[in-house]
Amino acid sequence: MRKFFAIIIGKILIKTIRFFNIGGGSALPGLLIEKIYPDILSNYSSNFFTKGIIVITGTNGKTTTSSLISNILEKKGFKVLNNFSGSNLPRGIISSIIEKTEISNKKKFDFGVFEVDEAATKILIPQLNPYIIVVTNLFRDQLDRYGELDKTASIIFEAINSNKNKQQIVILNGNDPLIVSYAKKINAKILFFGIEKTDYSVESVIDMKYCPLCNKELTFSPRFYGHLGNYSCLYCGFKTPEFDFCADSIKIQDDFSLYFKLNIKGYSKTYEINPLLFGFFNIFNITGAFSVLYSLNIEPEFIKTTIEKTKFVFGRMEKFTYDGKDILILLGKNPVGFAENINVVNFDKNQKTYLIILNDKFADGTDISWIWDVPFEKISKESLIVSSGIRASDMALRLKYAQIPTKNIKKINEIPRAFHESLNLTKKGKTLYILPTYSAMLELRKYLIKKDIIKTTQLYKI
Amino acid sequence: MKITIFYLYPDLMNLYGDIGNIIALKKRIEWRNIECKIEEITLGQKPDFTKADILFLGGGQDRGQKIIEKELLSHKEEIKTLIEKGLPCLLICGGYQLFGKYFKTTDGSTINGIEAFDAWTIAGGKRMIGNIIIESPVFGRIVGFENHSGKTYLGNNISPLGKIIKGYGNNGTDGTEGILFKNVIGTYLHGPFLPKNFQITDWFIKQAIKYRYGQGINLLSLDNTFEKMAFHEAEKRAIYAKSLSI
Ligand SMILES: [Zn+2]
Repeated sequence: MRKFFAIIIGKILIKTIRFFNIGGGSALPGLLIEKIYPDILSNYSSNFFTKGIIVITGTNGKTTTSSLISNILEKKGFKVLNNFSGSNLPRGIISSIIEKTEISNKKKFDFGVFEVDEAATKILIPQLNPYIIVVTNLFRDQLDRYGELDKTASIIFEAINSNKNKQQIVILNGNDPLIVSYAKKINAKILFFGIEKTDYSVESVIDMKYCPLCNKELTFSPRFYGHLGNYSCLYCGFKTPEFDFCADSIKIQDDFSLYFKLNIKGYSKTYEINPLLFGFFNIFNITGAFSVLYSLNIEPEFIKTTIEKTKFVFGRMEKFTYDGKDILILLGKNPVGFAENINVVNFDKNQKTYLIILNDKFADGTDISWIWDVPFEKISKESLIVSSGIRASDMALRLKYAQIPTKNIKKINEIPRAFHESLNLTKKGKTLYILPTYSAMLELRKYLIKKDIIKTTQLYKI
Repeated sequence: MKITIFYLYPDLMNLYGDIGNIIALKKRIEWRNIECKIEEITLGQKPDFTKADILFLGGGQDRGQKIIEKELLSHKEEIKTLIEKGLPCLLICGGYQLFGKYFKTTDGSTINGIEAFDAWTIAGGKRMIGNIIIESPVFGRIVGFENHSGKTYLGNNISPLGKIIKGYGNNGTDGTEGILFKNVIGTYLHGPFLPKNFQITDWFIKQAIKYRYGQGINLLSLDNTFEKMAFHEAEKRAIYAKSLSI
């Protein structure tokens, strides 16, 4: 009976909130239902998804990885429920389930594909009992919420060990030493994905340089992205594991497009991938998604061709044209992400115009100190930069200390005005590079949609 | 003229943009046409601390603190003697804790500090997080962002850096933040600390010159428009935004 009420109330709430257009309508109903009927998730996980649940967690790449998995499963003809329109906290996931549920509980899905906030794994994994859990990577992100990286890792892996699903498969990024150091503590089948060899490496901030097992310095050859790389400890022997799914022969062209080869352990054939997604980091996302889909017995050929047809996930990296100018939005949620975005932009050797938007809302992380960990020094001195958002002045100051002449930096807190100013500064036929934090990206997109500059159909997530 | 900054254990103790303090010092030294050398001190090195004109140690995870504990203790007497002579030191968060007497961590173990000043830290259950404003009798208003669970208590004869206007500070109860002892500043303020509080950056530069060359100096004045803008934005944010305690 309680369940019945919970669902009815939830459905009414979601409809009402949508109707009056109050704040996206995802968190509040879930929050209430959580109170009325706390077991709702475990009840659904066993009755609602006939083929199982897939959980994706980690700092970066959750949305891209889970949307790739969802997309390809749907293209294959499966019925998939995901939480793209909701938040990745328990209440958001409850909301997305409730919205799609019939009271009779007869409507079923094949798969549930959920991206789950790192700290929320503690609550969600023992309730959802997923068949597959993916851990993408662990970077410092919104540290004011989680405290420390070590703590985040132990939360996730304790949660994995509390999974009651005996068939569970755990898919880990083998290039992340912190994640791999926990692999031995897991009682489940483990698969590793990652990047084998590449000429590409970034000098960016590094979160972890020391061996997670013995605390001595790790040797990287090479290091690709933050602390992700091929590593070994000369003292205790800890090293990159053998990959079950691995990317190599990576090429990044001048127009940012990617090419790489994907190898499956024990399988002689390799797959050449030419994705529409760009940016080095998407190699991790694609390889991670590939690992999951392959483990679900989807044919590699089908995965490859569908990946090659998949367009951008909104906001992460988005390109459009307006007023005769190309506009590229590159979302950065943490120092490593921002550093990588600066590298991507630097493929363009012309004089560049930037719009950098820094907010300090909860979704961005309320502490903006991390901007000093980002090598803004790599932005060329003659660039024109508009600094915007709630903490536009902090960003402007950071740029001044990165030796950008102050006459090239304009501070405009209001995002719409900053957008038009930066567009004015961009010459016809050239590109405007927009680097926002999360809530800034949402705010900007909302404005661009309102002004018909981009179409709402590109929207995947509210 | 040259100023050498010893940047202690940057690969282990560099949380929350603490490197911004090094960047701020370096730029404001160089903008005065003074040479600035950053000496990164890592584990296993045998640094000659008499070569340092400014010492900097940032924040770190408990793990980082445990790794450097022994090493730092091996330099204890040398660093303490130089501090008595006026060596300017900036210690943030975990670095601040390690220069005190001890730090009792959440798992009950004790990390020993080098006892450069009379202060000690005990891990607390809740993290004290948020924008913070303090008022210092020496430097005036200071803004930053705090994020710590350790609670630091000061001995009787030690003065805090300032009193809390908004935020938690040393321990969330006695209304004090940080310490100012000789030319040492210890504080929980990230943000990072120096870029927006540029008068303190300049104070460090002056103290370093006095310490090395035995005489005061009038620093070339700089255009601080951007610094002041960021200061006021942070101050406004601290007043309107909520602090968290989780
Ligand atoms: Zn080791």
